[in-house]
Amino acid sequence: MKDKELLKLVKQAKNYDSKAFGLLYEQFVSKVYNYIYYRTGSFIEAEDLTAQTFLKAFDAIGKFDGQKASFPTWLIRIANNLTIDYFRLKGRRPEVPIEYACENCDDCNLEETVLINAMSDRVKGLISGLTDEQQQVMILKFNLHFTNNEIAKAMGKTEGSIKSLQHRALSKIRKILEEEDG
Amino acid sequence: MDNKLENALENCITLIRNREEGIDDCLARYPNLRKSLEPLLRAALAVDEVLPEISPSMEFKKSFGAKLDAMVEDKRKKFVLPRKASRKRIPPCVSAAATKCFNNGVCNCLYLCCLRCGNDGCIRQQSSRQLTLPGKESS
Repeated sequence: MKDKELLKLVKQAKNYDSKAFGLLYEQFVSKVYNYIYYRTGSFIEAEDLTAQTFLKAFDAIGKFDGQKASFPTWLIRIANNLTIDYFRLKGRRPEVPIEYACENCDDCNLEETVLINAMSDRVKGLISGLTDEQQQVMILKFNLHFTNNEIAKAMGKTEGSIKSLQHRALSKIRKILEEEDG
Repeated sequence: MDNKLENALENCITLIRNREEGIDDCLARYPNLRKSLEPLLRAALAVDEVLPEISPSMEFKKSFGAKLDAMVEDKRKKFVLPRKASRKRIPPCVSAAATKCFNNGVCNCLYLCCLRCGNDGCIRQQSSRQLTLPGKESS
């Protein structure tokens, strides 16, 4: 979706246009869900926090300023704040305890389920050793395909600090890969 | 990480992701940086592989989408429709009458001002015109 179309939809959604808000939901629900899933490692929490993100976005859409951030960046910031609250309530640091995808549910794509299950251990191995902020950068960069500028806005940091976080994260992963190779 | 290496890494990730180039083609673009770029690029591609895009269940998407839709519609009825309706409810004739009434009110105010501040010649002239009865005009 082009930026112009997106801003038009957001403007309509600000006037409580249910069709516009529905289209925004359709467009971004997967991104928010993916971000929360890889942060919490739980499908149930991903659904719950995704729902909360859109409810918050709906309440606060009047305050959204397209000059300060793009709509997906703004949504991810809401999702991130909710994820932080979730970890605070749980009283633990996020550690990506990736949950295995169900194999019996009717609406799951079998191919996708097999792929997720195969990747789960690998994700644990590569990502769980990173700090919380490094994990966030990796998810935003490699799953959501955000640019460094977008990541900086979503995390409330400078582009320079994102580059530095990315470098340290990739260096850690490189070491893990080297150890695996022997 | 220096800027050259960072930019090379960004460029290679984009090119490989878009399937425009393979890893070796991309490394060949940066022979001076190859030694430090290659391990970082391989690490980046490993992360790219372990974070595939997943979809929320259709059941969740549909049920929460419907709930959200109902909430938006509810809020629209509460905040947007009443404002529009109240604007439409006033017919033009009522609006014209209200304007006339307002204008008369302004005239009455001026008249009262004239009675109180009789020293101003301009206002006295206006007030005397208003007080004069037909057929009994002053000379």
